[in-house]
Amino acid sequence: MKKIILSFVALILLSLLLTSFLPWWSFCIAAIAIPLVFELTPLQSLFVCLAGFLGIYGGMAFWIDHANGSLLTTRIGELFGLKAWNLVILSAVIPALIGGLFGFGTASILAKKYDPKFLGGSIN
Amino acid sequence: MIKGVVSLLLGAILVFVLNRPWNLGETSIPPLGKFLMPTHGFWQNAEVQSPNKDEYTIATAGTDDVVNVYLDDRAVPHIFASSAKDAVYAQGYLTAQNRLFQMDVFTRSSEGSLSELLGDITLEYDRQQRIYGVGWAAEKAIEHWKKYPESYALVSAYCQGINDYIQTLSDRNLPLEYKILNAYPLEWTVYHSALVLKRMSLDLCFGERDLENSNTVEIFGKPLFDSLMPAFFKHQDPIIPKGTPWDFEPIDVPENEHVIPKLLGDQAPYIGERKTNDLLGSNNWAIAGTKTASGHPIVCNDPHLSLSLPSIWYENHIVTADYNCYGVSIPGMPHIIIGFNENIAWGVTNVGHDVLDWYTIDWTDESKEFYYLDGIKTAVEHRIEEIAVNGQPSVFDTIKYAKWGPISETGNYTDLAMKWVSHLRPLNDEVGTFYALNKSSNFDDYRKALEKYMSPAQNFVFADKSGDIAMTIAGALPLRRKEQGKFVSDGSKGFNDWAGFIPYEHNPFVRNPERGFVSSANQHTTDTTYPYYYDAFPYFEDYRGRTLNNHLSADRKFDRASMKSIQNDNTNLKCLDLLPTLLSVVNGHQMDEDQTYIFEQLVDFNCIYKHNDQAPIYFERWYSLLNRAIWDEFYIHREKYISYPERWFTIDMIVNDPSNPYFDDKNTEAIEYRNDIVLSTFENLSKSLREDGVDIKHQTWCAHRKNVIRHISRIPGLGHTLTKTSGHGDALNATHRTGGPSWRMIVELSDPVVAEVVYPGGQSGNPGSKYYMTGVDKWEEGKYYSVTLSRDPKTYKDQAIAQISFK
Repeated sequence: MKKIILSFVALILLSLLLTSFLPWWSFCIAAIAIPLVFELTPLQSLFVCLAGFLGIYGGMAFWIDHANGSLLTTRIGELFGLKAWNLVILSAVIPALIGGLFGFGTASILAKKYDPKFLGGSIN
Repeated sequence: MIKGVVSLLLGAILVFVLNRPWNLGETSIPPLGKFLMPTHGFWQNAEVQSPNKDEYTIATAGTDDVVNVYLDDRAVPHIFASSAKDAVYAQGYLTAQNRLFQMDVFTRSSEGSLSELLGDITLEYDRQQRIYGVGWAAEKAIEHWKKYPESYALVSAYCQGINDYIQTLSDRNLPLEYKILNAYPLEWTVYHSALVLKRMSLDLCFGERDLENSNTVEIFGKPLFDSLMPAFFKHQDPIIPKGTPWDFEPIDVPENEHVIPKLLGDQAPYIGERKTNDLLGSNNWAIAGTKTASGHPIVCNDPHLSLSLPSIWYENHIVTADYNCYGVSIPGMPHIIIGFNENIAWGVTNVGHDVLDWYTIDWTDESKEFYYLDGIKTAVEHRIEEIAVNGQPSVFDTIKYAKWGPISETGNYTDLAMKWVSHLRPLNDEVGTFYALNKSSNFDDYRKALEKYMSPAQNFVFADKSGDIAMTIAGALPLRRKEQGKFVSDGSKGFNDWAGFIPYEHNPFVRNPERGFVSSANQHTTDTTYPYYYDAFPYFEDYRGRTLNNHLSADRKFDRASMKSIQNDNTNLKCLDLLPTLLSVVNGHQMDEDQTYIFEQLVDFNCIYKHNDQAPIYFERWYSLLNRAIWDEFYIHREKYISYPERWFTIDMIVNDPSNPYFDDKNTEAIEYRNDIVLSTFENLSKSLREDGVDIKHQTWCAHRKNVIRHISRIPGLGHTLTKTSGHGDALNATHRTGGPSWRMIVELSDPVVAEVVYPGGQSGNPGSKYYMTGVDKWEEGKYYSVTLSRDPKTYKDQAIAQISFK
């Protein structure tokens, strides 16, 4: 559990750092690095990446939308034929999905054995 | 293992797909991964307002001294600089910070390089724009501008400000439209500022009726043309009051027999497709202190243009050691274009004189490389135009130029060359005009400033604190023989060229007329006594001018409140002139339910076009049906592009000449007179409206017109639908579906100067900003903001939402 929480926090911080200076897809580096460093299982990686990216990017999108009074999301939504809140969700789901795929993939390749225990557990 | 590889691969594919743009038919989708990413995409353009004042310094080598700028609660910058050069540098930087994409689109639409941004959807537009030779004209203009180092230095400083802003841009903070279009801004040069000036000329004086008039004469003959389309309207109240003496010895323009050349081909291609929209125009006026309650002159201006988001105007205030000037500027050009300072106020309306002529080209042979000019075989010049296309290879076109200007090769029709005042090398320091106006303190300064002005010609209204009021028609106006340029000209004869330009001192002008006011609303510039010939493109205005002068000649004392009600006057004089006659004809005739409803609405109608009324819909449609029915002899030729009798003429005929033969419908054996046509069009009225899906008993004027402020590049979602817009092109509140008063200004030259202003938009060009649409509601409601003109920074500093320093 502690590992999950730590890796969740680390993922958020690292991806924030990366995407502040590097191109938009650089959060994938975090999706690869965190499972690697924390030795997460594939399911743990999937969970951490999905929740982490949904949390950080969804949170950002939600906060920006709120602070902007949905001025811009309403207009961009009209451009795409979507509602403002649809955009908030979409903007979180895309990095979450991609990040989840990278996280799960990395952990799957690195896993020596499949660990049946979802939360923590040792490799035996 | 396999699971892992597949997962990674899927992830990589998604990144790839979302990292590039896609074309879905006509729509282009930007790289969605970047666009939707909260750290990079459109989210970064969503302005998040902090409750504290934003204060920051911009390090720059572009200013000699510190410049402090305070943004007020509408984000209007109040620029405090020690020199004009520093002030316009800051003006350029701030304008770019707020309106860069707009400036980009302006210049591209002017030159014909939109495709570089928007792809092949604008290729045909760009190709046509190259044929109009605007880039060629801009290049010539800047070579001439360099001869006036002081003015050129100011334009350069402004451009430097724009570029310094562009340098700060990265993927993350690009203006929103660039993200949507997956494009980037280019470096801004003085050439681009010249393109912006040419853009104004395209919007305001790129028009004529040469082809239409020639075709009409060919079909109907000159005597009929002259009788149905006289040049002067008998009820006209010209800009320069009737009877104003012309205090100069006119230049003799050599006469010559004027022959309208025969045009070949059955169907003229619509080479004048991009003509200046004749719905554009403006109102301005100045009332002398003798007619105001305060005893101080008042100047008013509302230019009528296509409305866009962001607005064409950028409001700003410049204070230097030499001048303190407030008003609006055009993004891409320095200085204040319409405004006021501590001593004077000025405004502009468009001059409707024809300054564009078409000339036939008499080719020597089919190669179309040589043409005859006064019997001499003359070679054309070639200009190769490269049009870049986003995502595709460039397209190259060769445009041929004759002595007259660029040639439109029209297939199996006569090829025509265009001579346009804005193509010509400027005569003077045109770009110094507005700087001189910004600094002017009296009548003499104003006159001297306008001497430099070239194009697009404008009616400049003026008043100063000492009490002078004046109207100057400023700009280069061709010296013409009678009717020269009204039709297509024979380009094989050098004699058909313009004899020069009317000297500035001979341009129509009036100072302190007896009637106590000066005004213009695009009506005829002068009465018939003006010694130089001129014609209109396409027609001079007939209703707003008279409505305005009726208001201003009233025997009363005016104040700012009365100016507001005049600017927002929705009364349509065309309706007042015609409706009573129409109603008297149909009154008493049998009507069905819809007709009865319409009739009753029209009987109660006072010709004031309010947004929630229905009668304007009925009257306008009825007039349109009448016009079509009366001039059926003309409409059958409409594919050939011809001229039509003007509205005032048609209305005069309906009201005063009921047995005129033109009322007869040539399709019927019986002979119709006025009453028959009025009745039959009234009978068709409800059917015509229903066919267009109009809910006769419920639809209101604004909903019917679907008034809208469109985004500058028509990107959906970024515009705004208006819901309470009143008015009509013939009313002083001259709104139409996509246009109207783009700025309203009322300036009272008291001590201190007091001004009230509004425009239907906001200072920011960012759709994610709360300053994108600031003034729209107030504008729709006919309300204004008060502005102060202070030299003291403290006036603005405390209430500022942001303070920016350039060091």
